[in-house]
Amino acid sequence: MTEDIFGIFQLLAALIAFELEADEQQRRQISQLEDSRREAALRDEFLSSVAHDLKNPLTSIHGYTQLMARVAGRAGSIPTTQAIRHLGSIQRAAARMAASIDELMDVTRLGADRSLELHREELDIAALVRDVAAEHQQGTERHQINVEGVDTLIGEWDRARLVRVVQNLIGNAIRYSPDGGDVTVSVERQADATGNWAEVRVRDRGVGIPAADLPHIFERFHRGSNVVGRLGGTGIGLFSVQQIVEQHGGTVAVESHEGQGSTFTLRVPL
Amino acid sequence: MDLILVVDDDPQIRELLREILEDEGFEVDTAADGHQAFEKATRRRPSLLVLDLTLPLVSGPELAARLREQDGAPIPILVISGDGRAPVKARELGAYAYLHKPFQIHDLLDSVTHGLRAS
Repeated sequence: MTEDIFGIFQLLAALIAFELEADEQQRRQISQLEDSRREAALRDEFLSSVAHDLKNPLTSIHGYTQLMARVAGRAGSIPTTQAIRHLGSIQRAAARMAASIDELMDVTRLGADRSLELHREELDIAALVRDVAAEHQQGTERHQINVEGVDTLIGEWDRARLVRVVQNLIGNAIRYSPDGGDVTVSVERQADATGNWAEVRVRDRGVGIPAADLPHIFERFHRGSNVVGRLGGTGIGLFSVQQIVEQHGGTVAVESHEGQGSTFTLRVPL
Repeated sequence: MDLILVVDDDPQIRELLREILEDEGFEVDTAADGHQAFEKATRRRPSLLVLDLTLPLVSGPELAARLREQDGAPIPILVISGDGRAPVKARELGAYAYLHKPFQIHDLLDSVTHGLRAS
């Protein structure tokens, strides 16, 4: 009799253990499914943003070449000033496409845990920042981009990648302050116990980053919950910024309050 | 003269559309976001709206809905987008036509002429 009761308890215990294990397995499967759905949603959004980023410059190239052929076909020739203007637009669009593709290739490489091959050359980061700021100022009437700090600051960095870093930071400052306003960019020389640094700070008064997103903002594909579906972006810009800066031996930090704006500070060794 | 309001958040696309449409003799104004477009369309009602779907502040569909609430004849809307779901979205917001990026200039001009004639 005691053996029978003991056997029943053993059976019950085995059943409960089995149920618990099945529950746990189901929970794990649901969680895995949710993770893969989240990943798929992120990937879809990323691909659609990338397609958008590539299609716009392609549309410019396609459009201006057709327009030039149309004008020349109608009048027999095209006025030189008009040709120069259109060719300039084509050149800018092609450069934009090339930059997007280079960034995608870098991000793919970094995603596979491979490092970037930096092409260092002597350059003036203050001049580089002024050029990028002027280029962005041309595209916006609502924002005033102010560049402050030193006139010249020479170091050895990868020009194309540093341009991308500054472009991403100033581009974000504009994109994420849709009501317009001031964007302040400063370039300073800093020195501490660890050495001499070039410090670039980009400050905007835009939508800011929610506190819950701040720890993840440099992760690949991560986008602020207050901008997804509302303001464009691929979710690779800040990932790219951090990777490039770190591979130069530098750091990047962010300070932000939702609704008040963000300040990004990057330091690269001199 | 017919005024065409071009609404796109990309300055290069706004400029391209302005160049093409002005070359055909249209008067063109541009807006970088839905909010600015609404202000401009309220100040002077355009004969036609060329609209991108992804816009900051006020999206393309929101802008179309707000403009419909105004008095007067509805403004014909031509959507130009690279979004794969754009044909459906364009229909939903009441656009009379949709062009996919990159577009052919003659398709753009045909669509614009068609929209102006119908209005």
